[in-house]
Amino acid sequence: MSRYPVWVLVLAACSGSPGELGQGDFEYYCAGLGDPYCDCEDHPDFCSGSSPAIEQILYSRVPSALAVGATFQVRFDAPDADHEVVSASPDMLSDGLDLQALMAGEVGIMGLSQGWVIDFLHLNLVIPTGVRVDRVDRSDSRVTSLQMDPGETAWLRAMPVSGSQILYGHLPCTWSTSSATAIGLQVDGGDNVVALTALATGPATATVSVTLGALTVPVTVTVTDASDLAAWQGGAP
Amino acid sequence: MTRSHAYQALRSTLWPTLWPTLRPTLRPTLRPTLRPTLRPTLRPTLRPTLRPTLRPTPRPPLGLVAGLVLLSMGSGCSGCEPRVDHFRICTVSSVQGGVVTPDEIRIRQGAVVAVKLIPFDKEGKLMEETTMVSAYVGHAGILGVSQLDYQTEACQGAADAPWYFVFFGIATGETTLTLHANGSDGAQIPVIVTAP
Repeated sequence: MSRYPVWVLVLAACSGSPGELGQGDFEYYCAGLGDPYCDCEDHPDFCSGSSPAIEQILYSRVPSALAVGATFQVRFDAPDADHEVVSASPDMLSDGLDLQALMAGEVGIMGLSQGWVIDFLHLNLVIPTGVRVDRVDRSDSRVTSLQMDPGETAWLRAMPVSGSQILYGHLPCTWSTSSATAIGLQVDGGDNVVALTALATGPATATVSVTLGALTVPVTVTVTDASDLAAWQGGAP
Repeated sequence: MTRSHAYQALRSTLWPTLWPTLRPTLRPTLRPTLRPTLRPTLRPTLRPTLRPTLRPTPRPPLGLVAGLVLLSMGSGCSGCEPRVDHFRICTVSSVQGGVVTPDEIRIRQGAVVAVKLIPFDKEGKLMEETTMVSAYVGHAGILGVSQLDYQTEACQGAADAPWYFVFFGIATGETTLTLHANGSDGAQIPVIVTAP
């Protein structure tokens, strides 16, 4: 997206979610490629539809819901602040540079300066109940099955969800295919975006599965008949 | 009797009677003479050496200290501050669905609540803003307490009094929170941290 760098320059000065006492801002950062929050940064061409609003990302605002099991980073920004945040309950949200959501519920994070709390913010940690798979190179719409032409490449993104709510945080998934000869997978380590390539030259069907924690979601991929494609391209009925 | 013995005898008898008379007369005459001589010579030598390491803290005038000691002896109390009787708790953030009162604290695990702990003396008067308020938890693994750098006019007492704290639920369980003012017990509050 050509507009993206311009937005960055315009909005980079303001960032973060304001603390509940209004004394500082909490800035969200992705801890890995698996976080759908940062897909716009990692894959600017796919940034639309289910992606978080571009303003939200550029302001580094804390997402409204984070997946239990996921990791992410939050920095506290206030005059003379230490920038690190401390979890109110380490059993719910682990401390450290990378915070990890461990238990569902609302958990406070506190921004400190010389041992004094300056401000705090509550995060909403939610257990994923499903995995949403979107085709991101075309319509950015949810898919459960896919039809591909021989040689075609499709990009899919997996995101943890609770109902229809997308959950953020780096929670890596694993992709697999039932037929490596029909559908080839190309994955960057830790990224939840996968490139599928229809390797079959004739009609074929394969199941591509994505596993995220204890959840596995299948996507049926059908490769069309190459002769049908040739006929269609040649204008035959 | 040697000359020395005569001097000692004279000193022991005369000095206690003479000194109180001489002291007010001598002091004002000596001080202005000594001070200008000592100060300019000592200061330039000592200050650059002392400053970076020692950073002398301002001391109260000796007379004031003596006065306070006498006052405390006269009144029979160990400190000069009035004793705390009770606290009021002013919440300065959402209580996250919990209860935070002087009688009970019940918050969820993970919740953070900002409060101002306001001390009152036995006459029901708001204590001085210099009163040092502290809070101790019986089981530090259940409820967390930390000082909060905050000011608001919305609660009783001086806005900048150092009476702001955050309570946060670390783990589910029950414990007790003890509040102190100037080191003396003011309240014991039962605490329940519930599941998130």
